[in-house]
Amino acid sequence: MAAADLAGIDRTPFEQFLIHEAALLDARKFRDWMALFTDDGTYWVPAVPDQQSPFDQASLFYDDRDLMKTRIDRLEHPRIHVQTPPSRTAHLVGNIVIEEANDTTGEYLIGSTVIMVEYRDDAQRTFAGRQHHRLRREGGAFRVVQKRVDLINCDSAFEAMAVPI
Amino acid sequence: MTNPGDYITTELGRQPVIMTRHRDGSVHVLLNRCTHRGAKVVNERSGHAPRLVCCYHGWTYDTDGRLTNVPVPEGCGEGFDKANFGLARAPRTGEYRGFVFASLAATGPSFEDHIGAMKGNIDDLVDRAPDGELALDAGMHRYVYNGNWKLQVENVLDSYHVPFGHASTVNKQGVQFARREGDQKGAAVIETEKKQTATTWNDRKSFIVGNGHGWTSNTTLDDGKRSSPAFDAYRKVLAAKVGAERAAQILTPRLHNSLIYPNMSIMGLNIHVRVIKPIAVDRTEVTIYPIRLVGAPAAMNFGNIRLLNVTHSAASFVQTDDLESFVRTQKGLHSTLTDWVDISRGLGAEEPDRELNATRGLATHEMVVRAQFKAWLGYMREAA
Repeated sequence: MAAADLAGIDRTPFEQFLIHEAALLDARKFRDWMALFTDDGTYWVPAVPDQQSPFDQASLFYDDRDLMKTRIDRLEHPRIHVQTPPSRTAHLVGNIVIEEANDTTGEYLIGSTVIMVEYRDDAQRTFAGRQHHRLRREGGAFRVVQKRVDLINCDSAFEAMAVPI
Repeated sequence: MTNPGDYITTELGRQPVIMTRHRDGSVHVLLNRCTHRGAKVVNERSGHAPRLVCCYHGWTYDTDGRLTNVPVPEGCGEGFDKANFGLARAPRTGEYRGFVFASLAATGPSFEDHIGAMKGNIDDLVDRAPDGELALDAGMHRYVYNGNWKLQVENVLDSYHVPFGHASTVNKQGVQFARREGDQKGAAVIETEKKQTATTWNDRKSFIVGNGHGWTSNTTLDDGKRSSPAFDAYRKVLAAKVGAERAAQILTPRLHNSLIYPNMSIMGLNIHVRVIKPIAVDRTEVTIYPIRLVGAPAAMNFGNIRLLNVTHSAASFVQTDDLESFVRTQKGLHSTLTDWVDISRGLGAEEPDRELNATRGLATHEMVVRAQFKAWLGYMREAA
């Protein structure tokens, strides 16, 4: 779809979806968050700018549904030391752009800017970057085929990260 | 760094260095500090350059560190000789199977004497590549923590912490998630009915060979059953290169973690190389390099890279709980009412392993930590 046509699409449902997703993460409803993904869905946070592939380079996160489940089982485990006490987060999503839209297949690529502030154990830090959600309309709802978050400092050295961005 | 002009920058301890590949193929470890006014000459983490040019006044160095050009040279004093102004270099370097080691000390034990038996542990990793060569070109995992560097060093050979420290990675059957390409399940860590550490885990061994070095024996997994399209294809390629018998030998896990004291470890399970950099007494940065086995099918290398994200990225399931333990240890050790920690587990239970020419203990004991501190104390005494 041409850029002019993309500009004409109502952004509201996409915006609502992204706000809903962010709210699930901030509420630590990780299982509900995982349920947003398609069965073949992936969550990817590259470790280098403009990373071409999750296969031949290290990534901070590259989870398929199986790994997401293992990650969330762990997040709910009583002895996850790195979440004792747990993180509190606030996501802010904005600058939303519909980058691709195909009403026939029901697939959309939505770009947005995300800022996540995380507080844990007397320390607060900030993550920021551009994220892309590849969404597929299934029934009346969107599901995530891939969520990719490109942090502006993706190749820096991080203190331990436990919760998805 | 395969081509002339390739370079990486890093730190040796806290000294910024550039490692270059020169035209004649030689490797140089140079101080990343202009000999003129002291600016860091190369600011990229890696790259390719025919010469190294300082950003400040344009002093230009060849990739072997020689100063080749000084703008407006007539301003320099009469006796100025470029030959005296090359980049400083690490006084001593050693290479083994593509790994470059450098020392900031002009004297002391030789590289060969220092690394000693640990060459075998490097062989164990490199031999897994069908072409006998590793490529560390798959990016890196970088993490930092507010704690002393020794906390990470101790941890790599500490099998005692796993059942508790990594409890959140163990399922209700007491088994960790599968961590190797081709594994159907992970290691048995806990006997859930008895609520105790699994016998197989308790039986794991650790080894020391002097100089602070050591390793732990492999994690017991479903060996023999390891199979996936990627792993099966890899085994076939390896066997075609080195013969079926040698391939079987290479693929029989011997080692879990190996520590080349003081700051490098090799993991045989989720294969990687780790370099530990002290930043301050209570701040440490760690770089973990995924490994591409040269000659192995791409899918096998992809599998290794993917699983390393899960175990050792800054957002991984395993490393993060270790980082929490390091940070809490540092906080605890800042207290002053008591001076001592206890690292006496297995004291007196060490025994010689004549076959391996090493000293053997249980991996859930603390023999390796004592060996590290003994080496450290030796270096501190020498320096004093």
